[in-house]
Amino acid sequence: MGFADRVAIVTGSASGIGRQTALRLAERGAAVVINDIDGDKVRNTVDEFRRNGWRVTGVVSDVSKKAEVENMVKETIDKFGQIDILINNAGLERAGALRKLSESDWDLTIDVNLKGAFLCTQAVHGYMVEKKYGRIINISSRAWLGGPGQAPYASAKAGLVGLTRTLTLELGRNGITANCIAPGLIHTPLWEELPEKDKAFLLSKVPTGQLGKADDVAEAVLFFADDAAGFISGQVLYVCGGRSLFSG
Amino acid sequence: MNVEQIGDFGRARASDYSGQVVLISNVCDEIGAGVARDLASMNAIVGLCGVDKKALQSLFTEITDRGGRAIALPISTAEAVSEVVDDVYTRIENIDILVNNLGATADCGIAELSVHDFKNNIDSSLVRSFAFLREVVARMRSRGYGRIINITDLSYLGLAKKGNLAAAHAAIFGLTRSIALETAPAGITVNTLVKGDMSAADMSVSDAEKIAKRIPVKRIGTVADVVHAINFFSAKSTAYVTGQTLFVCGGMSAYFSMSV
Repeated sequence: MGFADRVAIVTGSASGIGRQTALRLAERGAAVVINDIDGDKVRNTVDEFRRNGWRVTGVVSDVSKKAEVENMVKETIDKFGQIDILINNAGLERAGALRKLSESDWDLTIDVNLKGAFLCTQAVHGYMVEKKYGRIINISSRAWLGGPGQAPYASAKAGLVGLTRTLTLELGRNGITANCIAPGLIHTPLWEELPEKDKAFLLSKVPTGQLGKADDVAEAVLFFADDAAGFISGQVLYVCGGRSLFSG
Repeated sequence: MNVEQIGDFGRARASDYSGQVVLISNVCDEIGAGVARDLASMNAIVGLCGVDKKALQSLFTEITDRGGRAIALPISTAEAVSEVVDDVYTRIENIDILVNNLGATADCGIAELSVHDFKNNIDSSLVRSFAFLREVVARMRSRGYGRIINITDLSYLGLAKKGNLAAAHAAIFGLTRSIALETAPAGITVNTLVKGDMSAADMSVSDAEKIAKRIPVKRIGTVADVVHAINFFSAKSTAYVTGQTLFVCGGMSAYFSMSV
């Protein structure tokens, strides 16, 4: 169950869930493209991964810009010659009460989380169709189910579910699967900045009572990215300690 | 993984279940037998349950002849489940993983479906699944660890002439979520695997081709496809995934509402 013959693009992979996913793919033999808008973070991640002898390259690009996405895909093909796995992970959140959200909050959140996934998928799918093989994994969020203050984010992440199901029906005949992962509370740098009482409140909503790890999500990505997962498509898998069952 | 690789006892595998005990509530179909072979090949001790004693014995012999460890557990009624589970705990003192694989039935429209047959079907799939869950969950809870996978199929979303199975499997969907919420603090995960159209030994090539045409990935499922998902939910590393419904159906679920 290795990935030695596979090439993966992981967007937003210089930190957090994306980085851990890239790491797990690379350590199991995949050639991996590290992408972020922060050049220093991309370089640091690539350097660190290369020290382990892993096959990686870095591409600094904004996934919400078509030209930059096309450049990332061209660089991937130039370097590795194929694209088998696309992890649409790049994302951000602009949260706030409806009356306080600006048009730019909405646009930015939709552009990076949703339009970015569309542009990346559009740019890579031809290579997958050509090979009659592909694994597309969209990192949505449990928040797509809706939450106060999350209008742009929930909408963007819900959009990824519709995109995933559409890709399943449109590309399935070409050996391409598309699946969604919906993480719940995951340990990120942002978590550390929260006041203790907020942490306790959020954890009280998780049935397992635990905070998830980036690796919990990476594990699910590897499951869908595997050659053996060719009959699994159009799915939304929550990695959330059971919080999707009831969050009230 | 392809079909030939399932239960390949000599092959190096990514996972290892040494020291773990798996109870499979029905191994008398291709999926149950495939899961048993696969987990046994990765060093799990497999508890093989089933009504068909001959099929059970044959699988037991096959696994043990290949160096695997298994226990054959003939079972005929939901009432007997308690005894069987007691037997496993007496002999091995543990169950780490429960795979519930109950529910095969013939197609039947509501006009032809008698109340008697409906009840029988609910008994053999839902009630028996519940009996396994009830017996095993309590012991897993006391140990603070468990992995439970309930196998159902797409009919739970509602398919014509599948009312009996839809009712049983929709109930298992709700049961999974309830038990997941109850057991999450105890280190137990409970998930549902929903099968799509699967190949079967008695399926003709033309029938298989006809079915495959309407599946988004243009092929029917195999035991290996299901085994891949069972392995995911059975792993120690998937502690943060519970109460979930995963369709192994080649994308067919995307045609249904209620499938996310």
